[in-house]
Amino acid sequence: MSMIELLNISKSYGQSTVLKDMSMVINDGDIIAVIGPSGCGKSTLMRCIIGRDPPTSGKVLYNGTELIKTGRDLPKSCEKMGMVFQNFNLFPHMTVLENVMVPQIRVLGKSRQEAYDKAISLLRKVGLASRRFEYPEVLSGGQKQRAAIARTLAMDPEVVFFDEPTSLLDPLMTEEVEHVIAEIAGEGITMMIVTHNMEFARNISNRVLYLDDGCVYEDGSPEQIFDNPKKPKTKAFIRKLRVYSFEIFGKDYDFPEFVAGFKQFCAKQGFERKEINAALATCDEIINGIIAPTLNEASHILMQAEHSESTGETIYSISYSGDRLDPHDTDDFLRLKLIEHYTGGFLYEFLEDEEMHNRVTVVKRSIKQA
Amino acid sequence: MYEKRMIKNSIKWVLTALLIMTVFMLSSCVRETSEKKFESLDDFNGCTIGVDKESAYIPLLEERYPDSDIIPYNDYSDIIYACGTGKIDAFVADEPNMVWYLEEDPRLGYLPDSLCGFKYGFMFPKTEEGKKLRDEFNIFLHELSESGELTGIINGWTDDFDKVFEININELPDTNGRLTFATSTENGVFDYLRNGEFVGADMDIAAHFCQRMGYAMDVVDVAFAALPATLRGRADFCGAALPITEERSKAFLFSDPYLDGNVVMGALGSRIKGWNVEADELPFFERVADEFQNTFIKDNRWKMFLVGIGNTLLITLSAIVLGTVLGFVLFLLNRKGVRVIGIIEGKLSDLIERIPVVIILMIFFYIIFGRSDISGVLVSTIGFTVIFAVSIYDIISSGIESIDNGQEEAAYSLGFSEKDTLLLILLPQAIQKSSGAVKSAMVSLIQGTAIVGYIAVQDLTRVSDLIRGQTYEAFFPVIATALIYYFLSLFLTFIINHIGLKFNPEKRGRRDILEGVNEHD
Repeated sequence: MSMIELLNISKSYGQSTVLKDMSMVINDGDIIAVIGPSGCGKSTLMRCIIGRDPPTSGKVLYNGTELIKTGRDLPKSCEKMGMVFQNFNLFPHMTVLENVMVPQIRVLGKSRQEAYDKAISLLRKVGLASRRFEYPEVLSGGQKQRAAIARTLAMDPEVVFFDEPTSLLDPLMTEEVEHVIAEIAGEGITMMIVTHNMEFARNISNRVLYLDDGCVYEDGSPEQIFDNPKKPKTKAFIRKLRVYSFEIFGKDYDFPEFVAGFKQFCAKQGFERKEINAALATCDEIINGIIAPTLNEASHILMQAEHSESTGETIYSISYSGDRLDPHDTDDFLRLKLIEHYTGGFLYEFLEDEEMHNRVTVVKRSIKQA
Repeated sequence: MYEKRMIKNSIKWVLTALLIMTVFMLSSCVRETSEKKFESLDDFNGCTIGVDKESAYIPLLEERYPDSDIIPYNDYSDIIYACGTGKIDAFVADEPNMVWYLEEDPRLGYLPDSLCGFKYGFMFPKTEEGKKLRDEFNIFLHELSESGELTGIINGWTDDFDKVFEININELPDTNGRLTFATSTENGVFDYLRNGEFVGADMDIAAHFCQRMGYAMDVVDVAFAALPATLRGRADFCGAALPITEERSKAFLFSDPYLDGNVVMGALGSRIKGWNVEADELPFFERVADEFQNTFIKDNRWKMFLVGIGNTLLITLSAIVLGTVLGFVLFLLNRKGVRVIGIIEGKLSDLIERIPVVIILMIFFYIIFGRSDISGVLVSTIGFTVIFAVSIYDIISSGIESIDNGQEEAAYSLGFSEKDTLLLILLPQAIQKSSGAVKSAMVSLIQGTAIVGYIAVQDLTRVSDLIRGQTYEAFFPVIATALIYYFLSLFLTFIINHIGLKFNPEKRGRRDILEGVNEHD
């Protein structure tokens, strides 16, 4: 049964159009993960649906009735839609308990006792009952987000929108919050989650929307989208999740930037620290030790790392322009030994037809963290 | 811990007391001069000469003493003080006042030679009614002078400094209407305050006039410089030992002169040839006691301080309460969509920021309410209410602006109404954030009120000026005023802190949070 229906929604801010003629249906019981490149309108979509930022044109139907914003106050049906924010937005001048109680009292007209009972049971559920008298500022990010979830659930929503609920949290806190969200998902509340954590998106959802170009570019089950994306942009996006690349132009380059990005990629794939360090050391020796002395203004280097889920292999490759330069031929015997030690052997190719003639390739069978 | 704080506090107070004593001693040091004695009027050429900045004699002095520094002072109390301490060599005054100043500071003396003559007159607005009243006054003055009463009145005040005021000005019948008489109690023997009442020759002549002609009488006391402005709508006539000058005659009507005499030069008695110095230096503590007596006890002057404190507090507190309410209401209206309020407020805020408060107040007093019969206290209260309302408005709106947009978003998504969002979510946070700004706005308000003396209000500063003008001693009036301001503002911040604590949500106990809730479910 369709709960929310979007009919030809468009949204623009001044000159820039974020959503273009988008239509979709959210069904009762859907747990939708929304993914897509940043700036594709994921958050805007949610704000349009809850009426916070009404669409420029088009209609939002909720259980068959249109949501029209009257004055500055919401139509009643919006109360059935809850939202959890990236930066929690707890009320800092209220205790955790009051954050959950006060909206029930003011908006739903519950008695203080009713509100308290509901608040306590929800806080227990998210594991914060013991901290109910504390103010948000003393809580960790994960605890804040759990409190915010309890606050939203206290309003008995039929559908909850999560706007990147874990993107400001460190991995451990992310776990806490994702655990709580997964638990709620199990209770059959309709949800829509914007997230950058693909593993979470895949595990929790029963439907995935890939947003791009201001519309729902591809819509399918998690398996369809993550394993067999049909459309080119989705394919590229999903592939990019497994590929890291870094380019260097000219003589000067920002090696620390490469190191940071590379580490992040490896961490996302769940590689072991030892393996990450070995890969980094390899790149360091080859780029800084062997290629760097030959660099000129026209130089171009491309480093890529790609992980394949199916084979469990990760392929690192470094392509570079210039004359033939095989690291095997280096005079620096010690450096070569080191590289061979780290990589367990690498492949050098000279490609006449490519822009970058030289390519070093290392294939590693990745060992994932337990 | 407690003891340590006690010791610390005691040391603080002892140091403060020492500081005040040092200041006192410094204040009474006389600069030794070894210059020649004054024998004739020509000897003053080349000296520094103090003069009232409103004085009509400045051009004359400049012409007569081309080599002298003519230093304008705010009022005679400052001049006497400066001459007593040797900051200036000499000063100029009319003879009756000179005698009166000598009474206050026996170290002074004067040369009896006449620098020039003076003629004092009452001043009237240059209008039809002003002319009518002036003519009426001239007839009265003529009769008074014929009967010899005029000399009696004037000599009574200039010879006997304890003369009693005989007419009760508050109970004059208004058979022919009501007149407002403006004077300035900075004019020595002719107009001053004693026990909080207006006395002096000018006042007495005005009272006789009203009594004889059947007018009820109101008196406004303003700064000497503000007298002309008062005549443009606020007062019917004024008298304040005003010399009749050509310049003033262009803008106002003068009565016939009621007194003429000589203008003379005064200096330290020891520097005037042939002057008997009778004053001995009193021992330090006796001098302190004497000055204290003069400032607070004599003529019940402490009552004037109480009146001053009362007025200052009245204006400040009313402005705080009314301004807070007004600022708040305006803010809510603007938020409700009455955008024109925001625009007006922005303009006002800009004006208030760029124009000195004293000028704003004078605009209120002389221009906006210039023609209406509203007291200075009320005008000050209105003025400061507006000023404070604007600060409160600005503080609230910047407080709310500084709150993260997410708060409003969260309230919205939970279904809070517009009103609840403001009252329960935004305002409590804004208030918490802006308590410091509110406190400093209040403190600057109480300090700002120090200028209401310009519009005829006897606030603390004005009272201190008046007492200084009567005693010709600066130390106690000024230090006392400073201390009173200090403690008033301390008291104000204390109250605000107290209220702030009450409203601080983080100071609530568990019981307040759980009000109406049974925890054992």
